[in-house]
Amino acid sequence: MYREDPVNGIRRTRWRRWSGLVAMLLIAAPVIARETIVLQKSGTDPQARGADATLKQASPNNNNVGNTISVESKTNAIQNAIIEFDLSRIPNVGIKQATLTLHVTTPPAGNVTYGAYDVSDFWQSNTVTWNTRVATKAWTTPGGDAAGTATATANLTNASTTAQFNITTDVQNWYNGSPNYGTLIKDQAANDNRTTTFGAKAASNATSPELDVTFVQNVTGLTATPGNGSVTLNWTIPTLIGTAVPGESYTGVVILRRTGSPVDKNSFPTDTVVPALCSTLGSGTVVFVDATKQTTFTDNATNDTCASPGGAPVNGTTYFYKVFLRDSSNYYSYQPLAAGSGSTYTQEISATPAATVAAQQNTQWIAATFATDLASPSLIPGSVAAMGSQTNLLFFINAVTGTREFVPISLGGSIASRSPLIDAASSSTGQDIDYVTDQDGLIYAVNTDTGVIDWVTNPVTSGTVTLQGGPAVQLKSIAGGTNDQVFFGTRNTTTTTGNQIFALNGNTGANASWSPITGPISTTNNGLQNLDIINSTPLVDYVHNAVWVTSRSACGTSQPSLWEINPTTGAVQAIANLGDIDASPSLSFYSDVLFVATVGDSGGTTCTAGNSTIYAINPTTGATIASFVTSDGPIVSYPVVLGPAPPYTVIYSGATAVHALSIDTSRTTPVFVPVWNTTVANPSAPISYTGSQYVFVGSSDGMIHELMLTAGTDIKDEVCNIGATKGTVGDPSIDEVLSRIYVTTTDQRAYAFVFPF
Amino acid sequence: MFRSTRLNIHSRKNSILLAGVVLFAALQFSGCQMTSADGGPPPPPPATATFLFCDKEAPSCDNETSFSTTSTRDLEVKVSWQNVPAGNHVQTLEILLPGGNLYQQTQMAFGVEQGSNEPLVAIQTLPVAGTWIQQRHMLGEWTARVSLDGEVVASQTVELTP
Repeated sequence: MYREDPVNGIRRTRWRRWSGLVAMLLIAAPVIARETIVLQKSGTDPQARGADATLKQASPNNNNVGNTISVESKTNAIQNAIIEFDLSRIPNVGIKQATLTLHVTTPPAGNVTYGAYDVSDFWQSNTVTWNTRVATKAWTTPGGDAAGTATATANLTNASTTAQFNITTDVQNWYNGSPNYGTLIKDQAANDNRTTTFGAKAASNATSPELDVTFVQNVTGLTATPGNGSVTLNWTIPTLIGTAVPGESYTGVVILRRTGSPVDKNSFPTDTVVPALCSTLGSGTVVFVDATKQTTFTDNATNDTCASPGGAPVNGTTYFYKVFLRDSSNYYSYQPLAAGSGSTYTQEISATPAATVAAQQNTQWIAATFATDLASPSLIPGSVAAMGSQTNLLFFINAVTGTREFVPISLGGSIASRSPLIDAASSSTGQDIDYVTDQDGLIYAVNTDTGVIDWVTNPVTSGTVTLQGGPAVQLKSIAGGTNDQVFFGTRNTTTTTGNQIFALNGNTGANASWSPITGPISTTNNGLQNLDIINSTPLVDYVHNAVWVTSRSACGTSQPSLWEINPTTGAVQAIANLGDIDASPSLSFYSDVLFVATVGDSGGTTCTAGNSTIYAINPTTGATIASFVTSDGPIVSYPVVLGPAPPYTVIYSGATAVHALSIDTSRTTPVFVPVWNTTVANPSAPISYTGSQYVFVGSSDGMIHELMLTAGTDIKDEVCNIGATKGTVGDPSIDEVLSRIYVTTTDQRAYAFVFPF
Repeated sequence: MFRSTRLNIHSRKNSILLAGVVLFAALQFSGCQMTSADGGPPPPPPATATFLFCDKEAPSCDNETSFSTTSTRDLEVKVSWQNVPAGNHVQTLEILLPGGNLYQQTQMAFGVEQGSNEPLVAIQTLPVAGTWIQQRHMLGEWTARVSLDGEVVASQTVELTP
């Protein structure tokens, strides 16, 4: 049985002929910031995630990718250039300035003015056209969806060799939670009949598009160690990844502190200004200001003499620290955006001091996700944690340090489920790969080492369909065959009968020979059966060569909600009419029992979720072995099954508590027996693993609760966020390699803790 | 997931133009000021937006302000725009949790033709059934906030109940 288990260039600086003048300007004008880098395809920068194309109105369905991109304004023959850069070389920085330079290969016949617009929709260079942005998905506005106002304009003449656009605001937004779909270049005049051709990414390096970025890095290796009435922070001042602005160097940090919740995104020092110690910046108190390159600070009665809310840490109180790297001109590691837009990404950490070591707590890392995510992060244990967000972003976080592996990947829609992450040794792609579904109805395969989207597919070519549940992967390395297969179902709420189940080739995204199957579905022994919406992630059952899919069933039991599908043929081998199901199914350790839980709809014309019924199913026949009616609302996410052999322990979360059942399926007539229940406010799905003595569960109280498996005793909790911006904690993941738990929360962050607590 | 509705009013353009001329003449005779304080033309009215929330499965949408998370499959958020100037625009819709944390943010591009006065409605579907909203009982007063080209234009609360 395999289920993706929660447990478990710097190019030379372009000193051109006017370098002397540039130097004079640098001296005369305020120094912008710290480091500069040129992002352009080169021997050392492949710009793997970079892309460009020309969108041509005259050939609206043709994909135009080549050595050049062009811009033209001509009646019925407009050409727009679309460009996206790979920013992965500068993943953890505050952007201070960004200039897009296009190199002219054929100048315009006369004067033109071009605008650079922030693109507002997902596109792929190998399929983008004037009409469509990816696969069969159309642009809302043919010629590219983009901001109404140009971020910057550039005037060109017949003698121009470059077009330069200051797109600083756009790039800052991309680092501040807005998706990066690149830049659209359009002629500002209508029908001027002038064309300019620029070098494209595929061209020689010298004429490929370039993005010159000035930035300040974040500190690295930030840790917080709690003590008795103290918290000690340690960090590393990073080495340069670009070229230092002349005369500048990183000189130290400014640290803000807040009690109970992270320092909010609108709290930061202003560039070029040194904040006073103990002053208040937004929701944070300045507790440390240094320009001597110190890499440690102990927040205690000696070093922190600020008045409340500063001052020596109090035992039992959780403190959040936000650490801004600064340079000698006092530029800080944040995005200086307009008031209210804030700057979310700056290194954060938290700790709870206590008199005893046992009572002390600390996060291993905190990472911004920019929007709510409550799915359990997916893992390559010991290496990478992946999580989505509902701002269309996909994050890959270094599991050890908590820093981004690269700038988050911008997808087409909200990501509302766990995305299975397969390591290269197990994947038929030979890559570390993440399969992701989104609410734009697209499914993606993303290389987790580079961030490159290997393929993206629009499985449903007509209508509007959301993919709510995540994909499940059947590995060739276990199941055989020619490639990994990726399974998922649709959430098309315009029908309760005609939803679809897909199987794609994990290497290419192509449909399997039988995919999709569409309701009403022909079944092996039960004729045509309607298929309602699918909210869950399927489950691959290697022992029975099956894929188990749960669905809703039009608020009743007149149509199936549990489906067993042969992954090779697509044949529906078994069904069960259990009533609406939103939770994914779970298998016992040796796949001899399948567990599913219904929403508990009351049925009839009023479809109202009630109390779940949990079923034990014989996966060979699909027959029910036993059932148990719960009394705590619908279960959350999925039941967890523990134990190598019967009797099994089934852990599930309801509305108000975490519950444990026992069932001995070796008996002739097995029954579920309640073992314990422990009150936890609005709990997440529980997580544990066979052999562990603990169960971990997130809560709307902003904490992760550690329960004893034997009796459910709530023995210790770790704080994510219990203050003013308290967030609901999502489904945890367990990394057995690092002994860490990862969660995401509604406070737009991901947290890592060591376990056991 | 967005869709937009733009009604074609070109066939009505002449009658609207005529009505505009009559109105202009009447205002001139009434002595109303048609100029701005500095004597130039009056500034265009600012873009405005209004919200409508609907149970997508309900037979009609009666501008309800409260929805049950246990019986609503999808919540439709309809944003009606007025006075949007001609050109291309980007709408950003933020769905905020009770307490203010961001639940979801989506963008939608749309274009308005010069001289167009057509109604413009952007519809976003917020899945409820089987989502974290239902499973984690995210109840209370939610806020929908809409921006046009980066500027917040309107916000509206909606109640999610058990």
